[in-house]
Amino acid sequence: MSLGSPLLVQDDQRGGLAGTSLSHVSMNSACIEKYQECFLQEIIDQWPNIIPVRDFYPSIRSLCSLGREVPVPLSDDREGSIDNLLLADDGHLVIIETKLWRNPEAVRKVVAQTLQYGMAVSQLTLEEFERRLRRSNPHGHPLQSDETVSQRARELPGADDEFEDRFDIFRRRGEILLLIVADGIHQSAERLVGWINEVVGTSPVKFGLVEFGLYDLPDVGRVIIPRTLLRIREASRHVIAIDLRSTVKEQVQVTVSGDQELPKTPEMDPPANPLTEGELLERIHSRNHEDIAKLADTLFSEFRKSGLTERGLPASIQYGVAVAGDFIPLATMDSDRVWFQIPLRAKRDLERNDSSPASNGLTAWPYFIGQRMCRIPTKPTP
Amino acid sequence: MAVFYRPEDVPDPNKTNSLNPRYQILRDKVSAFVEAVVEIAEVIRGAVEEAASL
Repeated sequence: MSLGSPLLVQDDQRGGLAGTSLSHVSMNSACIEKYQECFLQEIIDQWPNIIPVRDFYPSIRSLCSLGREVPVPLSDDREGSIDNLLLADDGHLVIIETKLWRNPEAVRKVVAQTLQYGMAVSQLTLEEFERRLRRSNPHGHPLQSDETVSQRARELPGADDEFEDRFDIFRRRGEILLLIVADGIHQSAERLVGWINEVVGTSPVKFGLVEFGLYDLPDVGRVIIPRTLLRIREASRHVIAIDLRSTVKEQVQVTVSGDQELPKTPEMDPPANPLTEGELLERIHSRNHEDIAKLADTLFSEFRKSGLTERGLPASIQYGVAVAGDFIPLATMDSDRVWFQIPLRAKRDLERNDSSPASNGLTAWPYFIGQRMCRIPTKPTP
Repeated sequence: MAVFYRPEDVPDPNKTNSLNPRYQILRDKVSAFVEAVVEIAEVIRGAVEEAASL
């Protein structure tokens, strides 16, 4: 029994407790054939929520896999492959390099490689990024030929209608979490990653180490216990003030201040490479039957005449309302689908004023389309 | 015309968005759909004006 081992506690037959200390299984010795780096990759690909990602980004609520062995361009026309690429519900990407330290790869090389992957991903266009996701290992979760990252994100609990904007901004700014997931602690890697986080403290990239401890679970199998070895240290205490006095604000005013720092108000960049109507119609024409393409032509023509405001995102176009410097999307169209939405924040803000006839009308919005011209929503058959 | 599922209408609320309809669901109903979206936009504009006048 080693100190600090996980303990399995069960009720015994006499109403007391029985405890069994779990013994650590080394991935380096006896099971060398069984536990390769692809073992770690498969675990992360199938169960991405095993990664303790909230140690780095506390706002993340769920993760999904975007694939294993995702090819990315490196310098000198070389190509590398990201072991695991994960997507978080708040729009962050998580790049994972898996490592069994018995493999004699130099620590510096692993760390440098992971940094290169992060840089490469932030420099790709969205289309090129998605093309590469489709080329990842077919045993993982590659993007399907007609699937986009935004569509994959809709499977994530917590992903909201702001996802596409945030995903684009985080990726372009390089706000990516880089993790080395390994079977144990390698002190030189810990020192190196710690040093990188200190010297590039102002960089948007976050770097961390996660250990997967493998333990025998008597009569059942084995259990993996993930542990964060190195997380970003909080450099200073900040006060965040959020101004919610005005209603229907898509982008609330956020003032951040800290010790010896003047208050500053970060501004969100507009989406990069917004899709034009012509480009989206071209995609719709290339991916759908002729009569569907004509239907889409009519739909866009009607929206153009409607007086609603149009906004292009990297993979879709939205029509909505521009109010007080904000934009509230209502209808969104991508190359395959069309959907209707009202941002929850707008709905909640309007519902607060119960006496308002306008807010009463909006409260009934889930039934609005159903009552006017659609059939009432029914449960889909499993 | 199209089934826009609410979270409480489906067994797994996390997957409601992936059930959104494809374009063919709007066949012969494009004008009605746009008209409904425009009406909702008017409701929102009205609410914002009310809030601004308070």
